[in-house]
Amino acid sequence: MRALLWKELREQFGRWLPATILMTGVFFLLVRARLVSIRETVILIDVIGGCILSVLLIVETFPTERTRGTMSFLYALPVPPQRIWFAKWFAAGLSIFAMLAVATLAGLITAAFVEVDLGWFVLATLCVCVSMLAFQTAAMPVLMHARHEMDAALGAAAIAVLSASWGVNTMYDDALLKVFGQLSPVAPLFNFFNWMGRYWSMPANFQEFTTKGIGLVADHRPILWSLLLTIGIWIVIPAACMWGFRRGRGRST
Amino acid sequence: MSTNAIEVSNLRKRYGKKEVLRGISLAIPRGSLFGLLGRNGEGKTTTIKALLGLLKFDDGTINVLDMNPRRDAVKIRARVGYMAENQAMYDWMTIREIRRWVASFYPLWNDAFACELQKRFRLEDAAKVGTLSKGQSSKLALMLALGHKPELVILDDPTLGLDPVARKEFLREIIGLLQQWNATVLFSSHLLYEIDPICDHVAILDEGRIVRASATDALRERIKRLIVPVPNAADAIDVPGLMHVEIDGNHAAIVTDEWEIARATLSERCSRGMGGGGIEVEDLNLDEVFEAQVIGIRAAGPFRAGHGGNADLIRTHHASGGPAAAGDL
Repeated sequence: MRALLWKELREQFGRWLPATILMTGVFFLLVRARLVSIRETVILIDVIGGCILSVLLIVETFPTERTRGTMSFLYALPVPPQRIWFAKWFAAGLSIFAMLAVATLAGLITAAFVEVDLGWFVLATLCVCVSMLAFQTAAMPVLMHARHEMDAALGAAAIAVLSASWGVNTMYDDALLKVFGQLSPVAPLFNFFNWMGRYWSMPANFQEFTTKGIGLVADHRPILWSLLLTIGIWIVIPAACMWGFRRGRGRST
Repeated sequence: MSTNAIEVSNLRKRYGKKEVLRGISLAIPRGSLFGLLGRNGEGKTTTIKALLGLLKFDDGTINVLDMNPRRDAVKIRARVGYMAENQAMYDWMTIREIRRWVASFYPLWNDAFACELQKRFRLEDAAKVGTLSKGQSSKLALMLALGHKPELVILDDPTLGLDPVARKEFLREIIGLLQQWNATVLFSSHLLYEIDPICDHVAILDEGRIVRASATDALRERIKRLIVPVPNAADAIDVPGLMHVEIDGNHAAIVTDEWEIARATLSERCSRGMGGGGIEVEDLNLDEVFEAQVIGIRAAGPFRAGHGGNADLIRTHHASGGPAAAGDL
């Protein structure tokens, strides 16, 4: 697996570097110029940009290898194809995460000079990054049991789109989040960060949080319900995927 | 442990409406150099991919090194050295990188041997794969296929795209290497003269079927060309074991896989006044055997127009050349 990952990361670095520079630059400019609000900037760069790039990075690897003719070389190695797809996806996930981290860091530095709410900024970008990673992780059982490249590529693309939708949702919080958000695998994480962010941004509440500790968590029953629901979803979805793909697996070589 | 490295029985594969493999049966003895002959698109690569578990086949059974590719594809690939036709590799890697990278997938990789091969092929460690010539790329692919000293080597048209000089050099290297350890080799090619000096067993694949499988020497021993004086084309066609016939004036060149019986039959006809002169017997190389087996039967088409009854004979003969195992003859 390490060898496959090394190869994928080496190949993706060539695309990652210019994309990161571009994303960082745009982030910097948008925040400095105040053309749109900081919220829209985060959505635009972290969510939409991150989504498009992750789709590109994951999906593009297959046709690129096919065109070069190296896919057959890769498949002829003594490794199961699922491991190859997984390495491609994982390397793309890592690249996206690194890209978002660099761009966010740049945005953060810029934001510090333009007097935006740093607490909100950190919270928002953290939520986006965690959302995307969480969705990508949810895709793992699908990719590990995919039977064809198409399953793997489409699955990864669908998950990237879901991540982006969720990221936008996260940014705008409130009504939509309350209805659909609780069904998402990352709902408790979002709630947790959102909740912590509120306390962080308010020193009195933050002190209350640190002193009351777990007792305070118990007062927030929606979060606990959300956590239970999420655990259920995280068990049911991968189990259903594995069951479905195992059924089809007997027909593949 | 089976005495055969590869056993294939009634292998079938269909792509949409086209049936590419129509019940292939093969047995490749351990330690043999087996040539799989066939024109382009006859199913050689499909067969090889099925052997390696790279392709889902519709029907039949395959046994490679006592393993089933449906279940043990990864284990098979770990013990087999496979070189695909027109093998593309990662241009951005250096020779050292690709050697080490490929090595990490093979538990039995022998790096000292791989380095020895690299030196023999004069491949520089620091050279990028993308800068190699076609011949060097083929040698690199061969090095990567043999680096773990596999007990079974599968070479799928390894010289495709090489110029004649590079091809000869490459084949010389292969022959030299294969003498080093007792590997079983499956060499697929459409270039007969390539296989002729290397292989001790051969199978001819035509229209998705193995039309002949035999030890190369036995094949040469059994199939001969008879040059016979004939006044009538029908006399030349009605010959035991007929594979191919060409008539030039009053002489016929008859390729038959039962040349002794055919010669006796024709001698008798000659004595009854079919024609004057004696019967000459000529040896064939593998190229000519293949041509007679595959192309010759089809070339018999024009005879059908003028000799309808004899066309049936040709068709009957063609049908009899169905799936066969090595050593059948």
